[in-house]
Amino acid sequence: MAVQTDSKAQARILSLETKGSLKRRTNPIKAMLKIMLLYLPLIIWTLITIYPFWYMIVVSAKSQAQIFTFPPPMSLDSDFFVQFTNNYRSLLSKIPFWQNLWNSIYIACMSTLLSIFFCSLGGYGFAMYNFRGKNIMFSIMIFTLMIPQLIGIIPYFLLMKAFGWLNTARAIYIPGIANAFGIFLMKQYIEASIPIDLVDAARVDGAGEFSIFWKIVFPLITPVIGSFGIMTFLGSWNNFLGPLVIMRSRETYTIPVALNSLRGLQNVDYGAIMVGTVISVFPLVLVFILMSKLIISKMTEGALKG
Amino acid sequence: MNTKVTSEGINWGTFRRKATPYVFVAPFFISFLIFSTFPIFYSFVLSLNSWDGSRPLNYVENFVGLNNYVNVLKDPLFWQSFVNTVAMAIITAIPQHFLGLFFAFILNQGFVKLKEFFKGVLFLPYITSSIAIGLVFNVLYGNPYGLLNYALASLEKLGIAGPGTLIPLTSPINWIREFTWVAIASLAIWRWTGWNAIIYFAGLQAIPDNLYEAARIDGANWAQVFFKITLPLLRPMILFATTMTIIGQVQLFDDPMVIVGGVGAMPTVSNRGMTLAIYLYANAFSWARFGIAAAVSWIVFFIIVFLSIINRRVFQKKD
Amino acid sequence: MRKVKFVKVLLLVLTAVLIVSTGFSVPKPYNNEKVSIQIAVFPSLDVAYNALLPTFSKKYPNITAEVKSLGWGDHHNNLITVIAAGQGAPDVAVIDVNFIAQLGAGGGFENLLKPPYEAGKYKQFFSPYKWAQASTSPRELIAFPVDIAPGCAYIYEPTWKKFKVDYNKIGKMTMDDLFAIGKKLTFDANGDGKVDHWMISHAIGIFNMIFWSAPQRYFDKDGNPALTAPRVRTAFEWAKKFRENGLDANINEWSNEWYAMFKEGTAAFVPSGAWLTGHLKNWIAPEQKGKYRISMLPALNKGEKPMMISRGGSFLAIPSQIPDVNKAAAWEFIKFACTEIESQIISFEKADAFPAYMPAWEDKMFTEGVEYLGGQKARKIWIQIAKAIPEVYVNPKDSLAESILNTALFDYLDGNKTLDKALSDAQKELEVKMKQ
Repeated sequence: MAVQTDSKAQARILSLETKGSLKRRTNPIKAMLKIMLLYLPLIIWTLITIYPFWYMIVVSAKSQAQIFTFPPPMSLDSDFFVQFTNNYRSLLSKIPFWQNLWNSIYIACMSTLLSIFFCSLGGYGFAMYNFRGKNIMFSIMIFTLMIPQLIGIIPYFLLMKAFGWLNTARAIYIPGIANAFGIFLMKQYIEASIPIDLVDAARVDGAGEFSIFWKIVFPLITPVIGSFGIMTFLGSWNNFLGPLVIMRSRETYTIPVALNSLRGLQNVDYGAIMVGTVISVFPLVLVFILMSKLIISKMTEGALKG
Repeated sequence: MNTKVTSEGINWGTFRRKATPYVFVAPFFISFLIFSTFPIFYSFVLSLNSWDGSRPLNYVENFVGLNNYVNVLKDPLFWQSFVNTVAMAIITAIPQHFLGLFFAFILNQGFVKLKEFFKGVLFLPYITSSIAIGLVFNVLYGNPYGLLNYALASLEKLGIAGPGTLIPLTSPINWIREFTWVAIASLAIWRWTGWNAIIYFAGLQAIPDNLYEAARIDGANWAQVFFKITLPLLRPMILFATTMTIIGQVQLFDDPMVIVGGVGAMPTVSNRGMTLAIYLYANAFSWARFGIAAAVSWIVFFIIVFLSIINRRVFQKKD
Repeated sequence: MRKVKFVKVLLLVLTAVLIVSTGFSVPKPYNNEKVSIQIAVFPSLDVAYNALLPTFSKKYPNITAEVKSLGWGDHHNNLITVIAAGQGAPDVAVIDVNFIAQLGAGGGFENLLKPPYEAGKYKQFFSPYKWAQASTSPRELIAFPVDIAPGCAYIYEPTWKKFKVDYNKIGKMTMDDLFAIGKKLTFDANGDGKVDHWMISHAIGIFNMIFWSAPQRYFDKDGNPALTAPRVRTAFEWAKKFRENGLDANINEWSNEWYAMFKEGTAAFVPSGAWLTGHLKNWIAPEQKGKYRISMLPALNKGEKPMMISRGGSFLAIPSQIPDVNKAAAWEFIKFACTEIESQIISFEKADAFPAYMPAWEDKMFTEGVEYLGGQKARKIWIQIAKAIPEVYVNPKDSLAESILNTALFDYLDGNKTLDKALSDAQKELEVKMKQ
């Protein structure tokens, strides 16, 4: 107990240090510089990353003729709302946008939830157990990651047709729910962050294997769950080739395919595409906020553990 | 306490423990068996045939054995794509990971509120439309009116740039033609740094704080903490991120297409922007050489495997 | 392993059945059966064909037709995939001329000259070159012409007027004349030492003019690679001449700078297709209304006729894998869209799809002036061009040859290779790849 109090005191000293209140007595300029130095790259990076995103928003509120002015448009005109509405109407007249948006959301949600479960399970299996054939199985799994996807599109189509899954959402999300990428990521993370003693202790206490995983380990790996969740959701969202060949009618298209269908050889309706893209961002931001809460929640737990 | 001490109870408990890992990792192998064996087999058989896709594949008539592989390895365009891919992989990999680790490190430092905002910023490249990205990067590198050329021209007026000065370039430069690799690499770095940063950030989160505290008490400074504690503990994540980078970079398709892509994957500028993945795509969908394309995909597979093995030697945790 | 072998045998059997079945069955003409068909297109033909559906449904009440649109690239990728997979094709597919040769080669689409289509009786109503583009052999027509794209040059009138050159006379000039004019029309307007007005946006335009205007392109009549032919050389040399003398701006088509050239009128002579007018008017350079004109291309040498090229165009095709009754219904739609004057005019109005059906040219709209082009009677000129475009030898490996030759052209223009080396390397590469 004494040790704990000591470390709590140490923690307090350290946090004071980083907040600079101790340093304030020693070198205020140095502390300021340190904070600025840390913020600066982040700010520069933010500007670099935000620019194309902002450009997207600007283009969604311009008429076709205004998009290709030179120099390119960087600000919203006073009539941007009118143009946005025009582009929006154009978008809706060409594709069943909200239906397509829902398709993307549904597939991405199913894909993410199922993947989180199966991949964390698989990663846990590889990380916390030693079993015959473990290394070979893991290596095979990694090898499968390296197989290029493009040529597989024809047999994938044939397979889905044989299953009777053409034009269904199932064909898109089911094949990937236990994927090597996720299992690899989970294994690396679990190996690095969960001590085997924790698992052993739970076993001694009589817990079943699955409940050890689900009740003890899973809550502890929320940071990687959050990150993986975001990546899987975005990956599913941006998946293009699969839905292109599997979805056979306008109503089942996902957003990338649907928005791309507005591209003729030269006559691309950029305004409508950008409106679609901008609106599609909202569900993504929502998912991101949700997943972020998972990542943040671990932080506080970690401090308590410390 | 395990109360089931009877001989049957121990057997059941041990059996459960031994069987569990197989059950846990089974979903992957089951789904692989169902969904991937046929495509792998199909593409392998395809690579042994000469097929233009315009009529059903006739295994007997079109069989050419390993000719496709030989022809690919003899094709100078394949080797050019190979060189392009490797060069761009190296140019992007290093900044991606250093910057990614750097940003993850900063974010891990402790200013809570903005953390979520900056993490969002890291993900922005994935929710930005490729079309918008393409437009912006083409404006940046445009010739003669792009932003970079504009900056260069201004510097020339100030006398800082131009022949015989600090920056020996004359505007306007066709950046995409002259510096193809850098142009595409810059887009890839822009796109993937955030991804790596998120992975490293998760990894940093896994390192318990008391390790840092203990080090500080022992009087270690920043550098020592970083190199002796943080990096070694990050090794598993670094191995993961670098492996994924290798797999991704060798199959790089979207980013070069944005910069140099033309009608049906035929580069409008030069073949300096053709990557292995574009070469594969062009063979299949532009030039109707499916057998060759399948052979290329298997050759690419072996390249990835080879590079990954080397990568593992470098980053694998040595207990 | 057994599972895999079973699948392989199954595939073999299926393939055999497919081959056999397509050989034997002959579809019957449409007989008012109830059927629904899918028409796969890319923009902006979706607008055009959706406009045709009401009239089509009235004429054929038992056919339910749906137009499905995908991006230009995606549409063709999808088509290639379903043809290669042997399943999943639409009932009517639009095919752009760029893909017609490779898609048509293997029997994936119906031969429309055979019964019940008997398309041969329409042959006289279409330009010979267009008919030839979709014919893999004289007895096989795998797709039906629906719209064409006569090639012409876009003239920025103020520049030509300034130097007192008459663009209407280009059709009577030769390449030498064009070159001399080009030197005049390339100048530095604002006096800063850098040329800011060019004759042409990219030297490849010169190459295309010469290369595409002859029957023989990448392959000769017998299908042998012919990249070292004299005309190819000439085309390369002329492109290089324009580049060396600074007459081209080295700006790629469809880039921001290219649009800027039109907006600012810095390109005097840009070879393109009839369809560019719509784009210029709607979004590229609407503010330059009235300042652009179109003109024919010059002749290559003295005493020859002006060069005529086609820059695009689409076809409608029927995949062979669909059921017979769908094939019959699909043919009815194709006839409706391609051989009814009304349909062709509607497509032209809605999607700028220049009619391939020659009788449609009798419509009075073709005598009208085009407002954006300052009232120029451009449509008449386009018809003239369309009538004179020569038949070309089409080969399934055309797109491969195009990649190889274009790379050679860029190497030569950039000065990386000599003319002989560029052409002989290209020829060798094509020969090697043809054998694979």
